[in-house]
Amino acid sequence: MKRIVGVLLQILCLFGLVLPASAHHSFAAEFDDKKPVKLEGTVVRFEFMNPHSWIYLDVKNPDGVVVRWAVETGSTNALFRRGWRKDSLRVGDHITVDAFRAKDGSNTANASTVKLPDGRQISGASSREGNQ
Amino acid sequence: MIRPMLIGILFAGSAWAQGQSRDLRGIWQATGTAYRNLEGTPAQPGQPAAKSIVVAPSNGKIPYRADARKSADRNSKERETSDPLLSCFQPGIPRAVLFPEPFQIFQNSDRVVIVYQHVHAYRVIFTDGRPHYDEGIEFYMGDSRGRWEGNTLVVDVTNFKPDTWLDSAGNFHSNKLHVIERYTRTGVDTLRYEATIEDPEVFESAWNIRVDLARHTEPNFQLLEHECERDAQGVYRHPPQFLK
Amino acid sequence: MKATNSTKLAMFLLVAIGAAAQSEFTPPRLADAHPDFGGIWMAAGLSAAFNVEEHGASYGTPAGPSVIVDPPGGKLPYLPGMRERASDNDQHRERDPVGQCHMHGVPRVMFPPFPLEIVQDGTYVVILAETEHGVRIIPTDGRPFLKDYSTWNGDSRGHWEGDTLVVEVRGLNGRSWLDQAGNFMGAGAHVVERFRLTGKDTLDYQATVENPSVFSRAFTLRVPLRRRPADVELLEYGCIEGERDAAHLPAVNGEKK
Repeated sequence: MKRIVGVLLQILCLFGLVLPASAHHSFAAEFDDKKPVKLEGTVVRFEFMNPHSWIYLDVKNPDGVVVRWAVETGSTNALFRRGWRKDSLRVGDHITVDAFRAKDGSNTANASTVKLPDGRQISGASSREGNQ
Repeated sequence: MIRPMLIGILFAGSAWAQGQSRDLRGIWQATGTAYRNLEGTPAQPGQPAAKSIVVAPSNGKIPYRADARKSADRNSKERETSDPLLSCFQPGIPRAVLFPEPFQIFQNSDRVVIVYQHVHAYRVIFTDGRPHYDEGIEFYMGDSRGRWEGNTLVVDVTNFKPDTWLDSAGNFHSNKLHVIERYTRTGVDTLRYEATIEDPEVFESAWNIRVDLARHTEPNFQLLEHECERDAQGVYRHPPQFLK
Repeated sequence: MKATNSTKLAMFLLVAIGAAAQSEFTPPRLADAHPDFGGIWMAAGLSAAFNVEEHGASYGTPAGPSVIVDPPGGKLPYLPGMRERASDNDQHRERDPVGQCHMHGVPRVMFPPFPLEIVQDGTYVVILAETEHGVRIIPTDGRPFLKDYSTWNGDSRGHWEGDTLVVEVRGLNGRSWLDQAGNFMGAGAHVVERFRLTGKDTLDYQATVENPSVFSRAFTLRVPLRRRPADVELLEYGCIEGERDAAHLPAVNGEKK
């Protein structure tokens, strides 16, 4: 853990706390930054893997209907270097996600910030961020 | 300053010359058919008989827990469709080592790098004593840390994803898989590979395999690029490497 | 004429300054006397990954300078009609082969926002890319190129010119893009790279690309690499195993350059 934190601090120092927007491949082909969504819901599955991690979220709509959303994060390796682990999100966790919706209209979105169960907010989760 | 000195000392004189025992560099390949089934295969049309490479337990059988043996049998029945290699997965360990495709070992003073021709999977094996990752991340090829015991490179592999198979027959493991490999030069062109495999969720006890690997000695032999891709129709393909 | 003390001092300083200006970084060396490039590296600037030419900010892309050092002016010397193809790619980024988990090709593999590892062991220089667990194996033993090879990362052969590693790449399949903006090189491209340590933590990387069917002349790009902290390791980057975006992209027309 110490080593991981050490690496994180070094990376943050190298690039500053402002994380430049850079991506492995283009975010723009799939997601629409003119369609932001705010999703508040319960984690039903968290898959910590490459090329992107996926958070599956049950979100209750204002009309009471529960909708399953698939939320993509940025590169898992980037998340790992920021301290994420495979159990960072557990089934049943209540989280809030700011994201951009997929252009194809499906309940799929690309996360820009994720607010964790302990109240911490992690930005740079989106594929707009690279490996910093 | 220290590092190049150490490298110099290690490369000095005959320490790394061909034929010396700690030099694992080169292109190697398993020559048998253990990749089909670690427990061996009977003779079939177009397929030779092969003995089990499981050397412990002495009956040559993988010591599955009872429930796990059923899963292995089911994998075997479904292997034409559910083998993860069919979906371009990296092969995992020890399957990558036994696979009928060459791999290349590079080494210097603080690490050994192994590149497998199959889907260009690779491993970086630090030999400077740095520890494994914590449990919070899993890899198809596991996390490898090595050390020398005499002239044997001992590689400890943990942090596996559960999604790979051990062979084409569907022998499998969970994310609790732990493999301890031993690489020992036994001659100019031979490398003995031994592995201890344990996984408390799948096997009753640890078990061992052993094969001898042969060096590729053909002039100018090199690994080719073996890309596995999924086309627009979702079909997995292996594109050719040569125009003609 | 007898030099005064102040003249002697001035001359001494001039010589010293001259010597300092001419002296280059002396790299650490391996036992074979070649420079030690070993370690983890990453492009010092991440702009080239977006677009190798100068570009303004746009959706998902920060502004950045050109990394093309030749021709002067920093523009890719496309033949007539070729820039239109690049622009068409730009409008169809779902076609980016990297998005389909292909290896990046050369030189794109040298400058994504992910680390690279360089390993030397005497005969070979190996460049491991974290992205798509990409690999480049570069023999330096003078062996011939493969014939009719056609792959994503091509076939590389290296040799040393003093402390510069010069790598020639053939056998590139032409399906790679040069960057995320859809710039491309086309089939039959020929690349010559030069690697040189310019400081303890800096590696100068240049690539000269020729393809008479796409460009009117050769061009050279330059992306310095910076060493990552000592305890950074490459992480496995499985891609196709967990790829789930393709289902949401506009249908890729399968047409490759």
